[in-house]
Amino acid sequence: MTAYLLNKLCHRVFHDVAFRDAVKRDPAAAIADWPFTDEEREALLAGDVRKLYEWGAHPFLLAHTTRWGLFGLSPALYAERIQGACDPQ
Amino acid sequence: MARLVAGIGVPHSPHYPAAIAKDGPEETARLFRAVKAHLDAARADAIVVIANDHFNTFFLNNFPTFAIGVADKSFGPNDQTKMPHYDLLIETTLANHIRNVAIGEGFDLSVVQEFGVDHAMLVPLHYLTDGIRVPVVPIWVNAFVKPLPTAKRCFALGRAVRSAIDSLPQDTRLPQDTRQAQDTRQDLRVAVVGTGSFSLEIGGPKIEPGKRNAVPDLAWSRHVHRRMAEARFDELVEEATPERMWQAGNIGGELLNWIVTLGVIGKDKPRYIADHNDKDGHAYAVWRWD
Repeated sequence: MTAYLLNKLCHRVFHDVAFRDAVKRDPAAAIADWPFTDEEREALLAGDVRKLYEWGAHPFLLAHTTRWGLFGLSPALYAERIQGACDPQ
Repeated sequence: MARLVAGIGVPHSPHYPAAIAKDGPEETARLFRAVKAHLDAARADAIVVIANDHFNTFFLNNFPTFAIGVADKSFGPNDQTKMPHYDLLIETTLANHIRNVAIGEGFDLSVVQEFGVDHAMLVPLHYLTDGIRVPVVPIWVNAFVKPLPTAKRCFALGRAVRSAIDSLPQDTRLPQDTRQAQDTRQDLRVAVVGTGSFSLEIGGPKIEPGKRNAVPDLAWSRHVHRRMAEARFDELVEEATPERMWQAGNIGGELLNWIVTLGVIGKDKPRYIADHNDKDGHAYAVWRWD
């Protein structure tokens, strides 16, 4: 369910403006109720897109984060971090 | 009765409408206008549009491999694409008939009865029509959630759609009291529009530094373009394996939208196909039978 939850989060920030604003304001608080593991939560809050991709986050959804600089991700930083990521099995 | 009068393939980038006016000087605008001239001349009464949803109409909680919209109307864009809002009419009779024929031929299409559509359908219709007044039939293909349907299956779906178009019963479209007019009545003129890229990466490891995307495999895109120009659809279907399309980028599966469209078209060479350019992994092509 890991990948599903990550994808659900990226989908929600794209379609739900109030939730997106909450993530912009205080990302840790906004996702506090989402049942991620500690490792997943840490990767998400650090904007570690390479890990998230390798865990199965869909790239089209994951890339939505850069539209609003969520989790500290500018397009440039995202592009830098995703380099060399392996495709999930 | 219905008759296929035009087959069309074009790209659908959501960035086009805000950046490129329909009557603008850019190459993209010129190519869309060239295709539109054919569609105008074909005088379609209905457009079957074949595209992939980008998690806007559907999400992974319920993501169809193949789906058809059967409703009176729709709207869009539902994905924040910077373009005019459109209310769409659906050609419900044809949509229902395609659904029935396809299921009869072994394609269990999901039915969608209340929905908006995203840029993949609306960007082409925005450029290719005057205000999208012609009714449409939306067909969605899963082009980027693994595992994708096979190219062979997609082509066969196109054949089923074509047999539905060719077998639309006349009396289902006419009220009883106009039966006398049937003798002089024209067939329903149907166009099919398939859209997408042959090579494109978004948000994955093949993107370019500082950007959200890249076109990682122009050689494949040129090859696909040549296959279409020469109407070598069987070879293309053989070659378009999941691995080959993935190598061309994580959006490379959008070729499947085109392959369904080629299935509708059947075997002919395009009447018009724009030269492949060396920066975009897509094509602009037209088939005509009117």
